[in-house]
Amino acid sequence: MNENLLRTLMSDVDPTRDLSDETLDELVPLDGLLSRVRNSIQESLAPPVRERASMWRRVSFRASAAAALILVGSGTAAILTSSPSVAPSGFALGAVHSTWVRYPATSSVTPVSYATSAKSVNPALVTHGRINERLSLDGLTIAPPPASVHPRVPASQLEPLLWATTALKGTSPVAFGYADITLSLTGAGAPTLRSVPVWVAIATTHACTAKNPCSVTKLASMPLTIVVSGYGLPNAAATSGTPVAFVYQSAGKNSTTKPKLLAAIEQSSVTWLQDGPVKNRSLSITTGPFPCGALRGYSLVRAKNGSTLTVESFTPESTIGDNCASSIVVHKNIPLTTTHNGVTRWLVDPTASFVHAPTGPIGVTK
Amino acid sequence: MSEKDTQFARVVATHRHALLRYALRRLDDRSDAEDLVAETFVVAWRRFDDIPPRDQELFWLYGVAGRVLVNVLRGHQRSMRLEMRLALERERELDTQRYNEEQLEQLMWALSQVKPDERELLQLTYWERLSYREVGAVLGCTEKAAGIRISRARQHLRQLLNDTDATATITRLPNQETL
Repeated sequence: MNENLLRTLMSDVDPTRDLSDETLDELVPLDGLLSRVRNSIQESLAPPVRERASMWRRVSFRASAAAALILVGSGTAAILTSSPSVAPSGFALGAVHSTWVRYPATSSVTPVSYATSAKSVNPALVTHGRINERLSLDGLTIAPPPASVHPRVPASQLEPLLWATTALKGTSPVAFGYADITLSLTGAGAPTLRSVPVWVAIATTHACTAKNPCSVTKLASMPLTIVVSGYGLPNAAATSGTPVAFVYQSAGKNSTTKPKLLAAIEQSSVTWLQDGPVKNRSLSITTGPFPCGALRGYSLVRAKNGSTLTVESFTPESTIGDNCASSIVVHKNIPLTTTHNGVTRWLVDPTASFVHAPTGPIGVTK
Repeated sequence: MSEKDTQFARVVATHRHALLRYALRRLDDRSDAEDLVAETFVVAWRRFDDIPPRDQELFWLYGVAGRVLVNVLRGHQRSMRLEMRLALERERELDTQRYNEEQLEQLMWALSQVKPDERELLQLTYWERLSYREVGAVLGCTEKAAGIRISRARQHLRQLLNDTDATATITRLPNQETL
């Protein structure tokens, strides 16, 4: 293999080959980076009170479980702490950014199925889409939200996404609703959330039936594995906010087994509209709405009847970071050509139609 | 804001893209890459007085990033399967293909076989596109020493490649193509 070929091959497999500076700025905005670095510097300068995981590290909370209650939540956030065991990886504290990267066609996988409704399982827990009873669990409290607070993104959009959370596989839905959550797990690097308005989806590995309903009292006292996952959203009153998204698992209140937090990483194919004809070798689209900072990217595939465009939203694995704008409709330009070694090529036929991919939750390929 | 703060902000603003590319080239997880960049700048802040003149800053930062990568993120190296597939997809769209899947596989295999420090040298050369002098600045050695080490790494890589392929050639593309 000669040097030219070697150089060509290395260039072609460069993972950042197609990443422009603009894209990098979307991945990691300068302000966010500076803020994180400064916070980290300040943390390192502060006298240590107890061992704490780096802001950059993932934190998860280990627990074993007999049954499972699954709870999915999202909303604006603040931060706190409590007593679980802690291990690296799983829960990110960092900014959630909107990315716009072209993914290969195979990144769009078969839509996953999800439970459609939990209303019949435990109607008492939810009234008009809002949690109406206080559910106190180990390190996590779910309470009715203030009457004045309303979700910015409707339940119809989020419910299927939350139920499609990978961590909910093999569980039975209990309830879905808007709630205030308080997370107070003591542990290195564990976040604290105080009265954060979120959407929550609750499920359990126990079979909740009409004959054997998962009542609030029963849920709180059962030995449970609890998963919390969600999509970061500012509430209706906020013009900006910090997103929250995580999975919470617990062996149940008062269990000797500590709760555990996991990252929430979900993807969904979302709707888009073409903004006029192809111009400047780009396709302009309007997409969304989807949760703050949760745009993942797109894939463009040649098809017989045109080109299939899939726009993917992405549930952030991080929860608490920089503010994100509350605007949830996004205009994007999709470059339809690529230039390599001075040669520009169309990725797809620009004269053919652009076909909408199926929408809905898609499996996480990570 | 102090002079140090101002200068540090300039360093971050100037070199963040290059460092993020460096990180994304070596780590699968975007969050890990962000972590690497952030940690690198934290180290840069702590060692602010050691930062060399502007024309050498980036190479010094690459050196810091390399040490952070080794010390903090061991075992999280990037899997190149996706990049291989993308490269092949692009290549197949060309009228005249320059390489095939087998050659790409051979390169990936050979890269996996060289020592980590040799792989880093090759990546600095082919991905960051640094000269011998610049690699020397990253490694803290002379240009000549860097050249010798890079030559050895290339030689080792070629030996591995030649074990499986001695016939590959490259075909030049036309300079211009009508869209």
